[in-house]
Amino acid sequence: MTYLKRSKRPGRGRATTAFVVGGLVFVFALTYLFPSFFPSVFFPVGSLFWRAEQSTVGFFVSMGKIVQSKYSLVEENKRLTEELAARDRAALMLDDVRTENETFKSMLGRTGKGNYVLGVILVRPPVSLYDTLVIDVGTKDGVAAGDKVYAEGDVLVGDIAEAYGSQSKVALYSVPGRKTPILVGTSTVATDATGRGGGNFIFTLPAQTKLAEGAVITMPSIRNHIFGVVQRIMVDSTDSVQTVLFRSPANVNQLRFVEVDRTLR
Amino acid sequence: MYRIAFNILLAVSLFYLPWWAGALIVLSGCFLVDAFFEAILFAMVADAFYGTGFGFHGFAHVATLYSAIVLGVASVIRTRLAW
Repeated sequence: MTYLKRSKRPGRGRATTAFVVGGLVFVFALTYLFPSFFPSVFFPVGSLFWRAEQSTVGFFVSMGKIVQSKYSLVEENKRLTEELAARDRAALMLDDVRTENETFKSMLGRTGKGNYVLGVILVRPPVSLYDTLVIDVGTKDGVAAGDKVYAEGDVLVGDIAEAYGSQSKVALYSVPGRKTPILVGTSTVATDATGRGGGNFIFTLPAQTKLAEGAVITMPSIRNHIFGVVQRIMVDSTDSVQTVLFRSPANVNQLRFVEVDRTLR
Repeated sequence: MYRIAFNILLAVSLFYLPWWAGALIVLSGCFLVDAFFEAILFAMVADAFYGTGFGFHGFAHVATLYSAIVLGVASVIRTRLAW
């Protein structure tokens, strides 16, 4: 008996294949012409799954902590208490300076105070291929495309790319290939940084420009914030430019919340 | 059976798993399942879910392109092999 190879057996027919390919082309056209169609339909469903995942993970993390030895918990408690006391002292000074700064801005008719809403991160990289976040606040909470997104208080991480009813998509500034205007260090040299994904950026400056590792990068804005910290400077003796690598101080893989500034409107 | 399993895996990866896990599922699904067109459908939804105007170095359909290429290559290889 001769058996046909699986690949030589009669297929489903050209009509079926044409139908499937036609369907895929239709779906692609739908996503291309109406990019918000799928997110607006599936985000409400997806957020149910994402919230369920967060609850489950939270439960297992709590269980893990319970089985830690008491000794290590006491040691950790002691260390954290000391650290907290040190930070409280530093924060007192910081609050004072911040209040003074706001007073000066108010005297000059400007203010850095915003209108913020807290958003829980539902999806973050690496689930998202494009270095984007999905958060649980949307147009119902007054969020709109273009609003700035901050993490850990004063770290500017991205802006709202698309806002739906109860969810929004945040495009991080570190989206690969995205260009962002920045101010470098205390001299506030203006240039464009290019995103490299995962909170990393790259930019070039003339080699004569003095810059040190650890220098703070900001964006032109009235609000006090940090955009990044210089990690590495590469200067080739044969080149007239220096390449600078920097990264955001906020690790998006560990964040749970972000603040959305709604003062643009 | 494989088809249903891979569809479930892709649906789970869309919501929970890192993007590279989804890429591996698409790769294996295209070789193990006959005419696995669902891979492209899931990739389109993934692009719509997580993509923005900035895309990936300006290209906003990376997952769709990847799955289309993998499906095409797998189809060609499958006609020359039997397992």
